[in-house]
Amino acid sequence: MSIEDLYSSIGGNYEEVFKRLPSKQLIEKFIVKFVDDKSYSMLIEAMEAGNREDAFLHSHTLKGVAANLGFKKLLESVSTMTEVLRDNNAKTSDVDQELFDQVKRDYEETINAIATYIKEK
Amino acid sequence: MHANKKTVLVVEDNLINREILIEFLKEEYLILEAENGQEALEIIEKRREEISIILLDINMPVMDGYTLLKVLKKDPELSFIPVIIMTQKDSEADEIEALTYGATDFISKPFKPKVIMRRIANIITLRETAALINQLRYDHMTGLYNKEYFYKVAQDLIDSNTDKKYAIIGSNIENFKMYNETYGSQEGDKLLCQVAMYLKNTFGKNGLCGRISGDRFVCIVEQEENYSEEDFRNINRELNEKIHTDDVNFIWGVYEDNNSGESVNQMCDRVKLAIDSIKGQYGKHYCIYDESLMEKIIKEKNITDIMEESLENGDFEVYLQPKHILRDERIGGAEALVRWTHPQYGFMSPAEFIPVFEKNGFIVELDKYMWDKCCSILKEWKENNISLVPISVNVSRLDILRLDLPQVFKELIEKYQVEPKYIHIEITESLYADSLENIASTIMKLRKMGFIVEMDDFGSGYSSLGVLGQIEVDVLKLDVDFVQNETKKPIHKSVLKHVIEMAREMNMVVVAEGVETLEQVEWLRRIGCDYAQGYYYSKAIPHKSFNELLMNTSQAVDKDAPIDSLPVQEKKYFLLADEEKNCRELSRIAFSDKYIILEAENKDEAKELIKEHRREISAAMISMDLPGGDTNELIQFFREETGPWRVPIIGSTSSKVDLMEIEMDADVEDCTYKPRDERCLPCLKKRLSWLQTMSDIEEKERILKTEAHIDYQTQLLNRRGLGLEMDKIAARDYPMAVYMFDLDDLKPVNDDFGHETGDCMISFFGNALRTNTRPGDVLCRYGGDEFVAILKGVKSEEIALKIGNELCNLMKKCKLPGDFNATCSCGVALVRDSSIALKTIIKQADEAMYEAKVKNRGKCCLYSK
Repeated sequence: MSIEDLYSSIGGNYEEVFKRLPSKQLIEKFIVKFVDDKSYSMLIEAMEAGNREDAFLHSHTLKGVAANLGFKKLLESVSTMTEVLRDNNAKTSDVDQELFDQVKRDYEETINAIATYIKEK
Repeated sequence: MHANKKTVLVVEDNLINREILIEFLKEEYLILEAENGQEALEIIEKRREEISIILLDINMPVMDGYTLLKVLKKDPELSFIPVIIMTQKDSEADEIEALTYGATDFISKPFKPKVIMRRIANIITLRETAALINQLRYDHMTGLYNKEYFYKVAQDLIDSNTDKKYAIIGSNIENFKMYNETYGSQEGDKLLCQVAMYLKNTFGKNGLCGRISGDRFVCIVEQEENYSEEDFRNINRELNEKIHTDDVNFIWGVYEDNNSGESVNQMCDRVKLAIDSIKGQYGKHYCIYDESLMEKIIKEKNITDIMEESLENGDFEVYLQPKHILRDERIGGAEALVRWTHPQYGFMSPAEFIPVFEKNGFIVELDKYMWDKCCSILKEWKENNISLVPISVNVSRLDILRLDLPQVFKELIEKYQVEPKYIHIEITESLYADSLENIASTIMKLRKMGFIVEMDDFGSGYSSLGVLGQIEVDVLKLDVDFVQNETKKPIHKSVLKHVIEMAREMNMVVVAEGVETLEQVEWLRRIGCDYAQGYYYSKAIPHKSFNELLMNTSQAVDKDAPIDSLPVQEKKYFLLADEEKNCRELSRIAFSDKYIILEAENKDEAKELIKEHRREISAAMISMDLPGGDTNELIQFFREETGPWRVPIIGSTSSKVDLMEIEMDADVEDCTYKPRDERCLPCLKKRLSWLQTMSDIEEKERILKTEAHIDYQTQLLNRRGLGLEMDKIAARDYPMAVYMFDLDDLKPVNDDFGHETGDCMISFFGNALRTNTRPGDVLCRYGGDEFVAILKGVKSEEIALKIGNELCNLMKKCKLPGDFNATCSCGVALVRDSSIALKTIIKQADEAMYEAKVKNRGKCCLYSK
């Protein structure tokens, strides 16, 4: 799998990312790192604990990373979730189960794709 | 391109995001990382100097971006570090919030490295340029504009507001150097900052402030009407309160812009001139610049430029103002005053140049010149046989601080061979109050060397009494204002009387300055002031003129007052009581041109006449030998009838009786031998004219007692006066030398040349005695040709003898017709304490005098058992 393929499979565009971070090495490096990134797991934890603040923080972070790395699909769903959680008076329960599931799905997808890419290198 | 890499602090909690940033930043910059606001703060505090820029994520745990931003902006040192907020494109709210919080810029995620790098570089450059500009504009320590920039902004202000009037106010901390030295330069810097802050708050609101140099500040404000001393005193007070100190002295200069087209630079220069002109002047806190200031400064410069040359050329002259002895109006001394004919300005008053010289120290040179000149004048008098009077010279504060005065004066008297007692050193009262320690020992040394020390301006305000308690001086010179105010009051309401009594007790002589009218002269004479100086007598005159004055006056004293000087008046009654017809007839001849004579042959007749005419009798001559009992009883009766005025009585007696005894006991003004022939007449007339002059002019006003004690002819004490003075003698006057002088050959002179010549001798000697003794000594005309002198503080027999001989020698100078050599013999007895009665000592002196007459005519002989 080429890196371009990786991106297409998760609904992103490598060209666009390359424009911003013009080094394949760099992008690869960060993609790999993404696997260890804790934002997602911490988001899940927060949601389960019902901690809106932390949930917002982590979804926001995850959103940023997704944006930086050009994971478009993930970016979209996480963005939406972030907005729901943004308001101070919101509750974690305000997040649609469906939305949350979407985020989970997008994340799994992205992670798997990356894993595949790594294995094949 | 800078050699060193700048440092960027990246604050972002997400590892990946952080690493992405670092990846492309690290090529150009050194990186510091932090995961959250708290960590970031810690790093910033440690390494604030290094950080050129901060990249800050908003959403972070522990301390988020906004909070950190807030903290940074609060700290003045950190607030200038630029902060770039990292935000996400779709939240505009974030961006606006970021800028509100004081972020310099924002970048959005996803990161676009090229953009980010460019932004960072720009911001860093901008910041650095700004800092540089600040350095160029602002004084780093105080935050005010620096000199150049102040000139620029002030000029802009004026130029763009041509309808407004501005004033430049400058200030200076007068004793800043001392403040620094006392408290250290750190405190000094702190002070400057506090002042700057105050100025900014006070004047900076409607104007601009700058720091021109060291401790000089300047502000430009819109012109207010009428700045006053009060305003600046208040400002100073406020300033001192704000700074919590009393130590600091601010002075201000004001330049009011009158659209004269001057640059701010020039205006500030003028303000500086204004400030400098009041430096060191107590009580002046501000000065407004005006043209006259410039003139004053120019004048001062002209004075300073030429002063040394002028001194060398002898443009400075010694003028002398005479001091007169109040008792007899003779000149008893002179004060030396400087006069300057400036090559450019002509005749200058000392008030114009003395302050300048005191400021620049030249006063010391000038004073030394004056002292030297005065000593040479004394020498000149000595060489030309002009009788010396002491010259008073002034001493300034700088002289005391910088010179070894005793040494300087010692060298002067050695150089000119003059005696120290002719140099009176005047030190103004305020100097005693100031530098007391230096002065006390200097004065002591000078007095020990024989100089006379005067306290000038006594009563002008400083702690006179306290000072007098600590140092000894010889003369008190009463301040002009003190004298003029006191002499306006009636004597019993004035303090001067008591001042003089105090002076007497402390063995000091009193001189009154600023005497301008006859009333003042008489007032002062009455309370016993010794000397007077002022326009009534003479202003200060060139020393040559003074020489003439001296010469003329001393001649005048030797002449007798002409009889024709008696004022024309209606005839008065004269009581003539004498048992001898011959005497009566002679006396009648003597007196009848002026008086209506009432003759009496004996006491009863006399009493009748007295009863009849009482207050009409203006003089009397009563023979002490009148039959019918004690003449003194008659005299007493006379006094009672003719009182309260004191009508002069001449007591007469035959030549075989001792005049001494008569004058001691009788209440008469004068005592003489009965006239035997016409040759006695002029003498009698003269006696009476003396008596009458005094009586007519001053009788009603004089204190009765004083009159009874003076021998009219010589103006010395008579025997009654001697008695009184002898009672006043105190323990401190001892040891004393008591002299008995006798004019040799007075009788033959009287016989051969007439009583006029004889009287001439008497007056001459009386005068000589007076001039050559001190005011505190007791001088008495004891008898027709006898004088008693009690000289206080004569410590040894050698000295007593020496003085006696000197005094006798004076007689040689008396010029008599036919080249007759007048001489005087004297005897002296030394008394050490009050264990022996003075009357006895006088007898001892008398005995010694007789011995002198026999063995050592014309000289002095010491009494020995």
